[in-house]
Amino acid sequence: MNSFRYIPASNEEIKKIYKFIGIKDKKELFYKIIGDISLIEEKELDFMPAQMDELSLYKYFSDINDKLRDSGSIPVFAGGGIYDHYVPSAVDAIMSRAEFYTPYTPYQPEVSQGTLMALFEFQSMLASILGMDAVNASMYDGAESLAEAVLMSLRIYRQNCQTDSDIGNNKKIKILVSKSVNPTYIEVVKTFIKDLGIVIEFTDIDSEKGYTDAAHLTEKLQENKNICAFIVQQPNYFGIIEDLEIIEKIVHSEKSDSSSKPHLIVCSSEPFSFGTIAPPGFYNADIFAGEGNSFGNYMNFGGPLLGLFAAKKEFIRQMPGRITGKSKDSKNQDAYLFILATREQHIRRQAATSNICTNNSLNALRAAVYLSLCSKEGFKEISLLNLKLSHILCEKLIDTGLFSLKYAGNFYNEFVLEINNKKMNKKMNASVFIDEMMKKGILAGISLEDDGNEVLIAVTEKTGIKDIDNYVKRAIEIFS
Amino acid sequence: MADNSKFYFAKSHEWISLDSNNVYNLGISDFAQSELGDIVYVQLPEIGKQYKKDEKIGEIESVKSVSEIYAPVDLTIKFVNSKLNETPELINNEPLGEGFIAQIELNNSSDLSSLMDKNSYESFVKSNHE
Amino acid sequence: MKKFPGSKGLVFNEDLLINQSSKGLSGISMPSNNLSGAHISKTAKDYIDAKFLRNEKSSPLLLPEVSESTAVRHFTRLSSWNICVDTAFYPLGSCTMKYNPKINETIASLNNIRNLHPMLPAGYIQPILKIIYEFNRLLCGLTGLDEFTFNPQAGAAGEFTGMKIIKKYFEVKNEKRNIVLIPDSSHGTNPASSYIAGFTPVEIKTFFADKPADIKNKSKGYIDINELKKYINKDVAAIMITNPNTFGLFEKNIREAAELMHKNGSLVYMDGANFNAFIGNCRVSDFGVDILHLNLHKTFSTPHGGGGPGSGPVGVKDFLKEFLPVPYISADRQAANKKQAANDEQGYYYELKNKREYSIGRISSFYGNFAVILRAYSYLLSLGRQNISKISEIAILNANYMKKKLKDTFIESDPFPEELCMHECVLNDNVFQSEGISTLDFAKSIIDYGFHPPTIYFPKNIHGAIMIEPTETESIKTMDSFIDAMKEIKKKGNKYGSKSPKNTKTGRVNEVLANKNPIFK
Repeated sequence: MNSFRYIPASNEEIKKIYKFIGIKDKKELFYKIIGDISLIEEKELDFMPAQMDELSLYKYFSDINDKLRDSGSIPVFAGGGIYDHYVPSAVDAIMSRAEFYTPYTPYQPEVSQGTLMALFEFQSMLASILGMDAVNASMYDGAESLAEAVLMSLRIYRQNCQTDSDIGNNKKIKILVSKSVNPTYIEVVKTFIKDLGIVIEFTDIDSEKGYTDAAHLTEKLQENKNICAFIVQQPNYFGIIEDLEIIEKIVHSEKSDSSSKPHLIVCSSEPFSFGTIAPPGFYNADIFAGEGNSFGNYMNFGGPLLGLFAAKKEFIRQMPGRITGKSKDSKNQDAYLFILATREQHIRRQAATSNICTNNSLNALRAAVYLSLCSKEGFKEISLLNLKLSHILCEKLIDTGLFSLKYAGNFYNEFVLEINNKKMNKKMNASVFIDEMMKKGILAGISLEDDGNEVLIAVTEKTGIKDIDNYVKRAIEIFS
Repeated sequence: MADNSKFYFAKSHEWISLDSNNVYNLGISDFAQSELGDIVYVQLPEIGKQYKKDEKIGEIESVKSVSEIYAPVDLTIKFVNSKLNETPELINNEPLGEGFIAQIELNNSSDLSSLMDKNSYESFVKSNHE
Repeated sequence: MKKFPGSKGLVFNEDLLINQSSKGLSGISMPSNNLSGAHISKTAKDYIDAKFLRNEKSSPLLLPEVSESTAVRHFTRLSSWNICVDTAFYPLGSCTMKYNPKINETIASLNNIRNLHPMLPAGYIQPILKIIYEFNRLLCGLTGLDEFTFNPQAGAAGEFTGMKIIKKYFEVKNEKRNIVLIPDSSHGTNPASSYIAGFTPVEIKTFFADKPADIKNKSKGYIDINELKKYINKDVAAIMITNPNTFGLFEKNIREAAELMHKNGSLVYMDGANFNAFIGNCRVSDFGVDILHLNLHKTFSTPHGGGGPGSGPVGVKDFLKEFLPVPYISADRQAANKKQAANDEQGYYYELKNKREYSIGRISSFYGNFAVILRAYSYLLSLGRQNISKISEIAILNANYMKKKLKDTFIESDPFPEELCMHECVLNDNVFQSEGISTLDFAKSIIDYGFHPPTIYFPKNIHGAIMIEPTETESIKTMDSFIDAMKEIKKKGNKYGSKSPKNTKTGRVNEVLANKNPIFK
């Protein structure tokens, strides 16, 4: 056997093709195409390992999987933008259908109705969860989605300012970001806007409550001109629920110099919260950008995830990414297809709303299947269970006297605890605490600062009461 | 709507014409609409705004293409055809009539002489696009 | 009569799931949690202020209420309306729709691997970091470049990353260069990506036929050095070359173009979406390329997922390493000595690092699409050094087989009749037009024969373009059958016209209606 199993051409057939196209061999084939550029010789491929048969390959990776028993199958109390929710078997069963995972972008709607209708359902369900008008067919992840939201806001701002002399006066456009937004998201936004002449300014957080300081926001809006958007996260990076009602009033009542009011961009990394708390659309958010991985997706060491993107209807032509729409076919049946393609790069080239092409469609379909299984009441129930379990763990840990709650604001399924080092004989910072807990088979949270005492802890329905009790028990052991 | 001989065309396929009420109308040519195909969206210019010749005043979209509308001369927008928001196909059906884009004021009426009449526009299209 | 794969059979109707709801049904099984005493009966307002709570009246939650069995049947029926690589030949040009090996899916579904949180301490994820590190090394070997980042989550994100690197490179050198030259034979994402990164893209014409009739005399299809020279000046930061380009042709002058750029102090970026034409046989470093992106969901066999996810790693030459985004993976022998956790046979300790001297910064929430990287790594391991060079060789052979086999009927549609193509061949609509068949009608017609249509109307400078990429994972029989279908469609003329496809559940979709009055939820 010198054939390879993914290639359906026998040596005879390969010879036949060479003969048919009038070429002697591989050397001549490449020479006729690339000229005298040297080909990689066999011995130069030594850096490649020898081919592995399927059984060896399976064993190789399942060994790795076994080695990861202490990290891939333990209770996860770390969040920070990605949450360990349970994925029902039905999601895996449906998503392992080749009809869903082996086609590409549905450019030909007549042979892609399955993907398109599921994406339409995804958009519809997400629109209702977020309370937003229009949802697109996915972005890469929460951070990238937020960066695209900033670019979109900037586009709208510039369009509204066409008549304005501000741009002519060369005043810098600014975006305002709450310090309670996930620092990674902020880093990504910075990368995107760096060479576009945009200035980024921050609003403080209320150090006691842990949410955006409304007075400082007002102040910032008054002292800065040309602000195109304010970004706030809900629940914020510290798990605290922001008072979007107050924030929205401040942001939208503020007249910047131009005809355009600053946009309210809400981001989120835990949309499960919106089964319990009011969604961004309820507060009149202009754009929503966030992470949807919590719905039916695995953490996959951080990717692929599910970038969510939504906006008010009036901004739909400024949205990035693919949007699924409903139409009729030649037999007058309902039919689905991608709409408003003129926004995109393949038509508008550099004037496109984004360069995105491939997105995270399969992750969006996973979310669609998951949310379909959830049902209305089930979704709210899981959301509430997340809330309850996190408060139970929080209470129990504070009762140990080892920790105190860092922020007094309401939280959803994530919270910050501070290690009470002063009161204890055994002192340790947050990273050491997390290391020690790992040794006991628990991912206890995320250390907020390198040498700090603050631990960011998340709880989901997957980390049940037993895991919570075990967490408390192990924490006591570590400190005693 | 109006006598065809009173239409002035630009190389970028817009037209300007004086209607019976002595108001200048602006639209795109029959050739331009046929090249675009089914029009699905029109981004109209801003009322009251002054545009310089060749400045972009709006956009017309079909399913798979986008085309910009340019000011053929220096002009001010007095009124836009907001019917196009709901029925953009008016441009396909009646490009020189009901499918007009806007009513305008010329900032310098002698500018019209820089444009083509119907016959020269038709031969311009013929020589450039066939 | 020839037998084609397309046929007609029972198709299922299926309504939107939300229309199938019965109040109170659910497909989820709530985890039982023995909540202690007080917590059982508590509601949300016992934990958070009532003013924050979701109100069903003002924010209705529109999720279906169906059982697990109904949901499963719903999506299974939907899936039957898709054509996919596993059911049909899918020669979508420029997308490399090759077979997606099943072992890769099995590996990516291993439970401990897919459940990894990205912020686990390094000591617990050594095998994962090692996979990324090793895959990086393999890509370097295959391309001749010196380091890759896997942060970019698709090809366009890779382009953006590459452009940012170029931006930062000139910023550090204190040179103001704002222009990126882009041949008109490049992907549509190229100008968009360079623009978003803060550059002004300038298009270079490579295809000189304005009218179909001129094709024989004027077409070239690759960068013309004299034309390029007109654009080179001190404002030019880089050239962005799709190679092989969207005509399926090798950029014959790429080395000379690269030399000119380097002499001008500019950089050379290559869009490697079509790397399937080179893998195992050509190194892009030999073309003079400084920066490259690859698409793991194209060349490296990871599934396209109905639109994604993908992965768009970016590779650079040594002098650009410090500009790569963060986080990146470092392998350190000394660290290994210090840490007990190191159990790598090569004695490396792997870590995710967040600082690089000139890094463009972060571009993704975490490291990148690990589950895609894993599949691609598994693909390279199964190929090994024995098979890797077969991939591009057979991909090129197959495309040329189709190109030549189409000649007897479609010679008048071949814009480059004298050239060998690389991984794909491109036709214009001359021959079909003469029978009154538009490219769109052809595409919709070939569906009924049981094939996914090729890429159509791209590249834009080929009139009514039809772009066929068979890949190495298709047999002569399949390609012959597709070619027979093309010839039959031509022979039948405009008989079916806009009525095709007829064998599918859904007929021709009204695009005008959907774009005039968008309904998106």
